[in-house]
Amino acid sequence: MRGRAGLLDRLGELEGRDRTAQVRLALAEAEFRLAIDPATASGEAAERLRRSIAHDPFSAKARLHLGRVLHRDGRRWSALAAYREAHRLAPANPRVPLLAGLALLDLGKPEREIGAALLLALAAADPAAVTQAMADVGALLESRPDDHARPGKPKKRSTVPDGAPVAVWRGLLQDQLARKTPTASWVRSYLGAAPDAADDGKVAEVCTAAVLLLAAGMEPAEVRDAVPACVGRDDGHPAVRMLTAVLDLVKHEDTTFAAEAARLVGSRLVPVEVVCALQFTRSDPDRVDAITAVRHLDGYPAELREHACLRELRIAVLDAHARRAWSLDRFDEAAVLWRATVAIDPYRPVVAVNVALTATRTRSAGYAEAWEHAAELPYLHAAALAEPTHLVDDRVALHRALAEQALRRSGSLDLTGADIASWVADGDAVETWLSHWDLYYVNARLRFRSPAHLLGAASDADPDALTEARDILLRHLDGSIGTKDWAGASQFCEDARERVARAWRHAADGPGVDQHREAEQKAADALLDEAKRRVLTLHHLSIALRQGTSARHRRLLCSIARHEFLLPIGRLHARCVEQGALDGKVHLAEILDLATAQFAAGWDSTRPADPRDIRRMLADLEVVRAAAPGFAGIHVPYVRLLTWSDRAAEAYAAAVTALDLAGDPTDRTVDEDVLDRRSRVCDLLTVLVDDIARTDLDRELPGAHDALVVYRRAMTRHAISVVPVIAVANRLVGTGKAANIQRAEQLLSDRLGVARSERQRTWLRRELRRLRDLRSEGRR
Amino acid sequence: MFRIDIDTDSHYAVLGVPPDATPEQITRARDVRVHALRLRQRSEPVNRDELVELQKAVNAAGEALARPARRHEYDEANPHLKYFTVRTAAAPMFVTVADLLVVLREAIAGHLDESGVPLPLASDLERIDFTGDLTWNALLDEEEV
Repeated sequence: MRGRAGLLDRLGELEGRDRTAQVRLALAEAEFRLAIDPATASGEAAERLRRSIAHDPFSAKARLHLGRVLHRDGRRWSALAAYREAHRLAPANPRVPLLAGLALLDLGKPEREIGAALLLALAAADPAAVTQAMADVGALLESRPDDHARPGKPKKRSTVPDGAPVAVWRGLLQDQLARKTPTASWVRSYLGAAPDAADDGKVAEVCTAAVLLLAAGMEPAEVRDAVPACVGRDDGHPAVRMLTAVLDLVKHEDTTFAAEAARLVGSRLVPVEVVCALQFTRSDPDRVDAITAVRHLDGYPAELREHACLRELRIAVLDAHARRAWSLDRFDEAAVLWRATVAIDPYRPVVAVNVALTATRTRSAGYAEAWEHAAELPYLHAAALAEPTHLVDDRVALHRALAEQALRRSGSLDLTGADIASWVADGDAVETWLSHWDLYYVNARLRFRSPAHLLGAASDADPDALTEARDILLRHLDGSIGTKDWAGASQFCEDARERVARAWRHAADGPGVDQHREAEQKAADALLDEAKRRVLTLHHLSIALRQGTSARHRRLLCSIARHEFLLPIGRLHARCVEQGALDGKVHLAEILDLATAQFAAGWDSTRPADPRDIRRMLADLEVVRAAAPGFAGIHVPYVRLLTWSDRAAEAYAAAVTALDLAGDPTDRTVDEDVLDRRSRVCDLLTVLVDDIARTDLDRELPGAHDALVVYRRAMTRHAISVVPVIAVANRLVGTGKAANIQRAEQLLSDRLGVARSERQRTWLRRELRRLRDLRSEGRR
Repeated sequence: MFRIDIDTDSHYAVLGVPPDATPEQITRARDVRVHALRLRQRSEPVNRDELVELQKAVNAAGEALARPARRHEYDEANPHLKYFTVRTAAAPMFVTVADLLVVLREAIAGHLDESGVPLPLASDLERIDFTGDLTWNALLDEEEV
């Protein structure tokens, strides 16, 4: 048989061939062999097995192994679906129902009932019962996850059949222990029915099962009585010595337990994990208080306390007592106990959340820091594994929870003026909603397995649309997680970018290979609707905040613009039109663009006192410019901020660019609505251009020998502004000479023809009228 | 940072269980709480009315969460609860019997293996060698023969 490298070479070669039946079977087998190679990681193995199934849809073994790989990864429901298919294709293969039975035992109660029935049917070698139980598995899969139909009442089971295969026998123990502490009669029946492995194997199996029963809380006397006599005779057997040692250990009082346990572990008679399990049951909050439980743990020698399992035991004990303290409203005590676990493992996300919750309840000073840490850790873990989907559910839940709570502070989603005033006044609720919703959205996208849904592309997206969706998502990623200075955030972004790039490549292969698309369609639609509500809320907020004049209002408006333009505006526009929120005549992006221009129109000329505010706002608007390069209105606040940063030349250049983007406001060939928006944006931009020119003149004139030279220079430098033109005209008029007045009139007339806004034209016309009046008066 | 409302009156908070608690944990938490409240009603007659109300709330929470359909509905309407409730920080072996059995069996198997008495492999979940599942294929294997 070929090795991995040889198989990969052969696979590459076969993929280039015509897909005859023979080639497809060879491809299926090659993918299968690569998947079951022990060196293959589980994610890759699952992917290869799916490809193997795509090449050979009748391969029962590929489905069995797909189920096995998913099962080992803890994805038991997905595993069950694969087992069901494998069973349909190969109903006589006993490996399939066995694995299905074991998977069912790890699920809820109704699933466990079917799992146990399946194992018993296998133990009794009853094919009809196996078929029935597998049919129940099918019914169970059909009923997941939205309805809660469950199979009927469980069948009574009494004894364990003799001669059951080892896996079945072990599964039945797991089933019993998951239900309750087994009765003595069941334990006797169970241990007595131990499978006939080779002699050593049988003794080892029975002793192992007996230790498991003890660790799960079974009375030692009952276990001792139930162990078959054949085991007791072989006291030189390592398994018997282990069982005897454990039976002696459980007799010890709490005060001497640790010392004896340490001795047994040191003598290699008992594994440390068994000791930890037994110690944990003795540390239950119902049994001892936290201080006593910790004192018992301190009874272990220092070197043993450093063992990974003992460290986990200490965390488990502290956590159990912390949760009990929390449930009894003793929040300070809970906080102390959870903080004690941080000393053992500072990077546990659940502990970080629990600490943050106690900080919330106790209103501690470290509240904000605690939540920040709780948000940071899941990213750090995902970055450490280079897997952006690791803990993605936690991240989605956290950011969604924070965003929803922050939004609820607004009082109502209609966002009336009073609501907004109280929302803005409520600490940083608005900022929290702005940032955590984006974090939620990006994580929710990264969670999709369907490449198209991950990118946020429409079902009929062509390659250009896929690329656009990819770029929008990457910008959103950089604009949300990429701005955080959390540990691991930059590595996370890098891994996420790679995931997005992979999705884009897969999506470009066409919808045929997107097997998750349909299953995830509902969630994708829901997310798109949430994004639609987000953009509409942002827009309402932007309009309402225009009235405010504080530095915070200005900062918020720029931030809102950034959050609006990070969204997939094109898809949201289509969704709004589809659902009647927009009539479709005006594009959503144009509405947002004009709103951005208008919020800056209300800014007075006072620059913010804090230069950091200007930098922050400029940074927000840089993101907007990158996201919406073809839009003019967004430049209005941008140009204003540049002038406040004393970057007049850049401001002027940006305004000129924006005026070019805005288009000709006198072009009568376009729609009236478009013309109106264009005209309004051009008015706002030319106000800024004229302000820039005026400021320039104000600065240069005081020391100048010849004002006319300064004006003419300004006309060259600020060719779009009318301020220097009018100043020159006034200067000429001031000489009182008729020829100069005529020259001034000519100058203004020439300028009127190339003015860039209605506002400039109105101004120039007014000046011209004044000159004409002057000339008439002169004649008189 | 604005003050988060961690919904101290959510059904989960009333019962003191995490939002991913099993039905058994929910039932047990309800029973423990009701028992404790009954004892307090006897020992604190002054607070009886308040404790009776609390007991009603515990029963109502238990009723809502013990039924899967009602719980699903409640969870859908309150997604933030999944996060704003304390959760178990312990390793899985200290949380569920299934995980405990897996860890202990592996530990014991390793222990016995070191002693020269390996436990037999029981199912495909424990095996890593599946050579027997390979199928001879002319396009893959012929030139090697």
